[in-house]
Amino acid sequence: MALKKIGNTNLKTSRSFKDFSVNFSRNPFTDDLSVVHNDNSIKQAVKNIILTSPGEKPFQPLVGSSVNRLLFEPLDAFTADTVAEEIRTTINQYEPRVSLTRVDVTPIFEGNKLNVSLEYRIVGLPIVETIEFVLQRPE
Amino acid sequence: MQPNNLTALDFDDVKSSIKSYLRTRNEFTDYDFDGSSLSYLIDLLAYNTYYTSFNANMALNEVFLPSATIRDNVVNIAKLLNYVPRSISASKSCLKLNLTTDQVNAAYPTSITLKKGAVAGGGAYLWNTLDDITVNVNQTTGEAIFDKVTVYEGSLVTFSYIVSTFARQTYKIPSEDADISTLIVKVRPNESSTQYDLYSRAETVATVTPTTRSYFLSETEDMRYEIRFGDDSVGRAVKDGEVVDLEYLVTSGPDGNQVGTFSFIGRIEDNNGKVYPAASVNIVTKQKSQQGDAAETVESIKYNAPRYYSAQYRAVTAQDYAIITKKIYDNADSVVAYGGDGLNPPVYGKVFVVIKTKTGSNLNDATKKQIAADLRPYAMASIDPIVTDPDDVYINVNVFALYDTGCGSNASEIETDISKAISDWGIQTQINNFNSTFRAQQLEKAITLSNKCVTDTSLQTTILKYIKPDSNQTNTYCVATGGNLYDSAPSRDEGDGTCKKEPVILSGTFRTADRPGVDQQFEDDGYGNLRTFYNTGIRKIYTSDAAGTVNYDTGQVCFGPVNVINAGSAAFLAGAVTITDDVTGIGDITDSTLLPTDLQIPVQFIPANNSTIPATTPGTIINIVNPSVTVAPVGTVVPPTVPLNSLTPTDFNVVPAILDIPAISNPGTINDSSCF
Repeated sequence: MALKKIGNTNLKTSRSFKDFSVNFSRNPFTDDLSVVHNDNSIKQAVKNIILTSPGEKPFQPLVGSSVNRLLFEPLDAFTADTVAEEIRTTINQYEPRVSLTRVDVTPIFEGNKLNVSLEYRIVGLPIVETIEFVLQRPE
Repeated sequence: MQPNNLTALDFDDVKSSIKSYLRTRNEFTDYDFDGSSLSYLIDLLAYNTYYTSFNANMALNEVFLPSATIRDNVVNIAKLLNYVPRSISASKSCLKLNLTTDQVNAAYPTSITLKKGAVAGGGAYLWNTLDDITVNVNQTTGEAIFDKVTVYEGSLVTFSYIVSTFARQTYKIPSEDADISTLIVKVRPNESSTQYDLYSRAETVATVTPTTRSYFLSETEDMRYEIRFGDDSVGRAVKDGEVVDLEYLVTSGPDGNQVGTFSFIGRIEDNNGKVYPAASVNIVTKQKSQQGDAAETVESIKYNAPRYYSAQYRAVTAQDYAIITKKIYDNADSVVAYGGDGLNPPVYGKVFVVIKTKTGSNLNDATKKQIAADLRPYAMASIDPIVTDPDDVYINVNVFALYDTGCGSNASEIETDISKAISDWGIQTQINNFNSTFRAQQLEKAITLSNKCVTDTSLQTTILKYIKPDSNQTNTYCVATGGNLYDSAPSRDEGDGTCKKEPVILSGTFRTADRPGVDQQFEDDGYGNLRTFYNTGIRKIYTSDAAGTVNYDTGQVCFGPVNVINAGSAAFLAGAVTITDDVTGIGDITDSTLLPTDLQIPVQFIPANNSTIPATTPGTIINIVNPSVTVAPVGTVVPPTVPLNSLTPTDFNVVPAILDIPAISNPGTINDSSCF
């Protein structure tokens, strides 16, 4: 959870998660940086952490997952399984706000892609989220 | 809120500083989660801050001599102190060349010249003379001998600049391997002229007038040296169109050392103009190549520059002499200087400079005089610098180590570990040098810790000194250890004159003029006298009971008066001596010219205190003889620490190899290969 003091007055704020949107877009109403909240912020963080390779963050060589490297392995059920395992380890280690309930990685043989589907529960909230995205080697 | 930790230099510190700032704001809350976009932004900011603070820290470090690490920066700071770092220096060797000249019109040429430049090849290097050398030809035999020709490794390079004052011109020596001690600077009035002015190097402005032909030298980027001429106010300025010729040796430095075989490739021409083929020249190596050295290290510049500056080009204190001597004599490894007033008896008006050379050999008289003459301009009037050899004290240590056989290491592994530990101990204590003290306890500790299986360590320590007698001259020779000698049996001394003590001094073998036929040795009688004796194989026969004196308090031994004509195990040349009695060795000298010279007699002492042996005079060097190591299983009885009746001075007829202590050098570069 966010490392904020939880008191009577800011109980509500302490429960909320606030992050800026990774696409750095402008909010048309406030003319400020667009902000993502709570479940959306967590969703964005989960995706970010999976798509970060170890060594990408300065001075934190262990943070991230090696799915990028695994995309260069032969596309088969074993690789898909390794990718799923890697995602599971990464999320469990670096994203304490969620508890994973399901990870599905399906190879798409046309186009050498992997379809990733995650289902998680946000810790402390009765919300189950699903993310789906496609992993592909950079062209 | 203000950022709270502006002194943070570490990435993590900077990052937590940014986080603690964000904690006070409510715009974003996700800074603690590695996957959040905010976390990536914080990383970027922290990295940028870290980079900037590293740069600032590094840049500021490089401004000060003690903390600078990059050579160019160190050199630039040293330049402010008018310190010119020592360049790479060429290895040099001493050769003797001889050849028989050819007659022209039934007469030999009067003189013959060895041209400057490459003279010999040897060890894949070229060896040069820096000047033409001319000798006279023997008119009877036609033989010409070039004796003591010093040749320098490298290749002679000439590089010219045409002076142009329209642009700011720098005169750089375009090689980082140029030995600047060989640099010759000539200035010609124009390109076609063959006449030149020789410019000399000036170190201070004190003696430079507006017309002085001199230049200033300094090191610039990438170890290249730069020459600067005067400005017609301090030294003559070079004028437009003049040509500056720089002549110097580009050398391989220490790689050229220890070459002993040379072949002649030079050019020899007699006064008739005849050139002799290389095959007609006979070449003899008088001394192997030595004294080649790399350029001064960063560590050395950092050490020397401020000290040299503090001496201010004049020698006032004893320390100044030491620093300046190191500057003017490259082969000096370490130097100690002390005033004669501190000696006993005092010698006023003299400063004694003791030089330990890099090669380990003592200086000859000519070099000593040269160094003293070079020191003279720095010295105060009425003070004479005297260059002397160090007083070498050798400490011979026999190491006995006991080990636990069930521990997992065998004897040879332990022996290797012990040798390495002894070497490390030598490096750490810098033992083979002036002002050092041999501490047995440190050595024992180093040996015990060398391998976990070593259980006990015992040392047997003796002191070794050399008497260097003049062949065929009757003299008294005194040497001193500087400390008490062991009293072998104090309670058994009944004062009745009968000997009840064991000798604690034993010399190596030597031969005297009256008994050239037997090897004699001397030992002490325990009461302050030396006795000479020889050994028939079954009996020890004393030849004199008053061959000298011993002072057990100061460790001084005075041997003589005695006429020593040989020492060690070398035999006489045929015809040098006649022996009339083979048993007693009595005989005479037949031809004194055939007697050996450069004699030395080792003398081994048992010190009263064998756990701490200090250097007793400023000029004393403690040398640790490569220790002999004996490894035995635990339970073995170790020999006594005081080796009474087991002195072996004859092992040291030749000066023993001492513990090799490599110089501490630090290239001073930073690792910038894979930081980020």
